[in-house]
Amino acid sequence: MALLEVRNLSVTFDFLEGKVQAVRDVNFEIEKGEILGIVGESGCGKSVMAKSIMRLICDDYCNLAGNILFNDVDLLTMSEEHLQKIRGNFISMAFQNPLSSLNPVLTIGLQVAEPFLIHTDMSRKDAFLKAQEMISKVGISDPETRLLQYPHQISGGMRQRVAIAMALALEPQILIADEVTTALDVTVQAQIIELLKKLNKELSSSIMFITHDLALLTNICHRVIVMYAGQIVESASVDELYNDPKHPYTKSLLQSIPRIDKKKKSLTSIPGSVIDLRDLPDGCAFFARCSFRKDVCKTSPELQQIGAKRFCRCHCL
Amino acid sequence: MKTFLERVNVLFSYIIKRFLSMLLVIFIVITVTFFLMHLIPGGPFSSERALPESVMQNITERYHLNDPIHVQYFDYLGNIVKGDLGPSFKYEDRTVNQIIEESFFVSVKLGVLSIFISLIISIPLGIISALLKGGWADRLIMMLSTVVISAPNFILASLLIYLFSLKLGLLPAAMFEGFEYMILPAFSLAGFSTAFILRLVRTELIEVLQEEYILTAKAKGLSMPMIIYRHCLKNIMIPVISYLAPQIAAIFTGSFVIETMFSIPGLGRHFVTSVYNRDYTVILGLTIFYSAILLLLNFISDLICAYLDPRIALDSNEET
Repeated sequence: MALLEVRNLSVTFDFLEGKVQAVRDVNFEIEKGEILGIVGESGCGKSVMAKSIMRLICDDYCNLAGNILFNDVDLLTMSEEHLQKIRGNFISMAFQNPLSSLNPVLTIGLQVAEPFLIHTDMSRKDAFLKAQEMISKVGISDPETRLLQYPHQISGGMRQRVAIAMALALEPQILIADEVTTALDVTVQAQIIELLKKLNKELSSSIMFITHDLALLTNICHRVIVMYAGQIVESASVDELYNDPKHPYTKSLLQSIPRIDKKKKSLTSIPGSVIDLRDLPDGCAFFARCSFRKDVCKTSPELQQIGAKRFCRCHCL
Repeated sequence: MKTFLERVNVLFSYIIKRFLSMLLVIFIVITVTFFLMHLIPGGPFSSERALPESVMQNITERYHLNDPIHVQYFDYLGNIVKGDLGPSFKYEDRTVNQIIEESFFVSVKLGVLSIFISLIISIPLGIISALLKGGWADRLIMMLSTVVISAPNFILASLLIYLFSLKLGLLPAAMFEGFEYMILPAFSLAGFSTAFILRLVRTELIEVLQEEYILTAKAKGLSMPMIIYRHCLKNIMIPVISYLAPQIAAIFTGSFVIETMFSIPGLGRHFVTSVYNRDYTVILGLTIFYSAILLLLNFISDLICAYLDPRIALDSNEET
């Protein structure tokens, strides 16, 4: 049995102009100790999906349907009080922008100690000692001084480490890393990836790694899900995806990675832009941008199983 | 990272710098008010019924009004350094210092109570309003606060007197002889700032709740009350404190309208009567006193804001 099972998850926003389905009938699971990559262009629903797993999306404007089973308990029907015990304790999340995701008026020590303060009976002093331990664990030097500093006093890379230290404080079973490397430069990116891999090995936490950078995924993930317009279009192990991509969208994504070893005049890109979720076509969502499109693509393709753990949503297999 | 001693040093030199600049501002206030005062024709002793020549002469002699203006100015400055604001021209045998001593504490007592009332009411209501944004409770609170902000405080005062003194007979309508005498004027004074702070808190909280760090706090498993207490309150208090500083200065130096309505012997009415009477020294003394309090409170509020928000650097050389 998988640690986290997402079954038929749909997320619909109610706007004045109409409904927008940001996530459409998504199914996947995360095994214990697995690093699952979620990749897709901006606006494909990755972040919304991640936030809805922790029920962090405001319920007023948003309708969540389906099941999210964590250790066989459905998070979608859980009470807010119960959810508060799960968040940060068993499932935690780190966000994209390390400056805005830390509170500017609280010390780093307090922010990292906070999970200990709310989820355990630890005294304030012990919680700060644990926080110091976490800060040095994520590779920040001079942790004692850092505890007393504020987010604006440290570098961007350090801030992201602090955010990760905060998320990993209670050794959660799942860490959702929502574009944690996007705002960082390449060398710091590599350090954060190494850090996540190390923590995955040491704590055997599962990681859901969300990014729009395909090249990064090879370095960290075991399995990858490719999303387009709120749907899963392909899911496969990293090797399979890179060596033998099946879906035309995955193929074009892989071709768009700039390569230093091939002489090419210009960067390959996918023509057109992501479709408007308010105005979805009847058939395949990728139809307008696909170079392999046929008449049959005007009807919606189903997600088909094409291997042991391989799925693809395309008529042209 | 600065050591503790270095930070104390920064704080200390900041305080000294601020004090020096405050002295300069007060000096300018004294000078400008002093010369403006003397530009206005007429004086405290010019009345409809002209005084006999000899009396006028005595008076001018006594208050050195015949000295050249710069001599008068330096005399005045010298006395201020000694802490003496001079005698009142209108009320014989009373000095400006005495007037301030008698009435300032009455106004302060009333002011402290009214500020306390404002904060106790406005902060919780502002938070409720922000959390229930768009709901009926929020709309009701916002409507009431609009009414209180728009109506001058004597309307609120009259309503309170009518209801609690005349109809219900619970509280005295005037005079100043004990705590129960302070309740109605304090509420009347508190009306505007309560409504204003309430709106400030509401707007600020709505904004802060949309910050990404609130999502982080939620993802850590914090409950809503904890999020407000730990992650929002400090941010909300910064604009509230910046607003409070001049407001407290104004309330402490008395409100003419409220003090007149409730016959309270506060400082506010001296401001107005001294202008009527062309009582130069009282006008000057009260203006200086008011600016000193205003400057001091602004200084304190800047210190508190720097404490609340670590991004505000006291030392301009400090890297942010």
